[in-house]
Amino acid sequence: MDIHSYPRFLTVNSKPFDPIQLAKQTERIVCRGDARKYTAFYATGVYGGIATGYIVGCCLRCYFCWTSFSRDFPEFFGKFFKAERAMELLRSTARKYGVNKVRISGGEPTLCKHHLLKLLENFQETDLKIFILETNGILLGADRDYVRRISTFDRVHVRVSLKAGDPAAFTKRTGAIQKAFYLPFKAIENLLDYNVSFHVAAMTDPRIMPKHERRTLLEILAEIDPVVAANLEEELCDPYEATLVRMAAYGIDPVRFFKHE
Amino acid sequence: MSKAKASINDRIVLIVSILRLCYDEGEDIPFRNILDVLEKTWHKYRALIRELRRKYGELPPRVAISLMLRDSLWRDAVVVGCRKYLKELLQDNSIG
Repeated sequence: MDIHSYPRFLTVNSKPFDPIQLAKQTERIVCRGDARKYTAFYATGVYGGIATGYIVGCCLRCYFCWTSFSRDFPEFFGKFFKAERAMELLRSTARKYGVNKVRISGGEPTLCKHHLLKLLENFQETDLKIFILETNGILLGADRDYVRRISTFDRVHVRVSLKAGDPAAFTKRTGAIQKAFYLPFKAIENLLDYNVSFHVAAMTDPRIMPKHERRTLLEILAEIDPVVAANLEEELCDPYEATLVRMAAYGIDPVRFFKHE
Repeated sequence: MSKAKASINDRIVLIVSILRLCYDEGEDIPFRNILDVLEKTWHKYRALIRELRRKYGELPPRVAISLMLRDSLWRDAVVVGCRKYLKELLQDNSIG
């Protein structure tokens, strides 16, 4: 891999990349057998309290992303944890904070397929209530069998996070090629086909997504399944440290962007 | 009101109200908080609200709604309620 061509912060001049290729490049850095790089394990207040393993590595480069700089520089962050150990830590974190939900976040959980499937296998042995699998839907759209395998696990709920309502906006916001815009929608269809519990979220913050694009997005979802469209979780952009830096790198003045915060 | 007596229409009304509240309240609260608000205003549906709280109260709201689709008592109401709410959402002038 040419480390100099590895996409890091998105800029207005960034050349669009293929997210499947970026997933493979990133996996060479953050996956090792059934181990994956993590930076920390602790619980947060989202979802009403959830134990979280913070993973390294993503296959998109959204300029509004909140995750740490490990997304952009995966070689410098994290330690490898095997799936069994990662689940042990998620379990003990859940116990420590008195919560019964778990997730991995801070990167794209579907990278390192072997690790994730092992992690879900280990989750089955716990008495935890639910594993929330957050994803950008790229790999679940490209690999139908991945969804089939996820469907074999109990108490796993998938949350697919959409970034745009049309291909041009998708490339502008994520850095990925326009063709990849369709993959998360394919993921939704795969999840429906395999009867996996899931819902869809979208970055519809009006400072990022214009109203007409939000409407288009709702219409695309309604065409796939009205229940999925009606249960859309709409996301707002918050001024996290890494978000401010990524916005500045992209040419957006974060102070003006967040002026009413 | 028993489960048997609760009509599908009551469940649909409740689902639409839940979706409206979820839109306003976001995902960082447990479903029971949404149900608490509803219970204060919809005394008529107290039994249904308690049933939902018992089954799904500690889950995030969107997760709870997804799981209600797998619940034979709620599935039809969720499907119809979501279609109704979606019409509302798409007719809303504020979304362009």
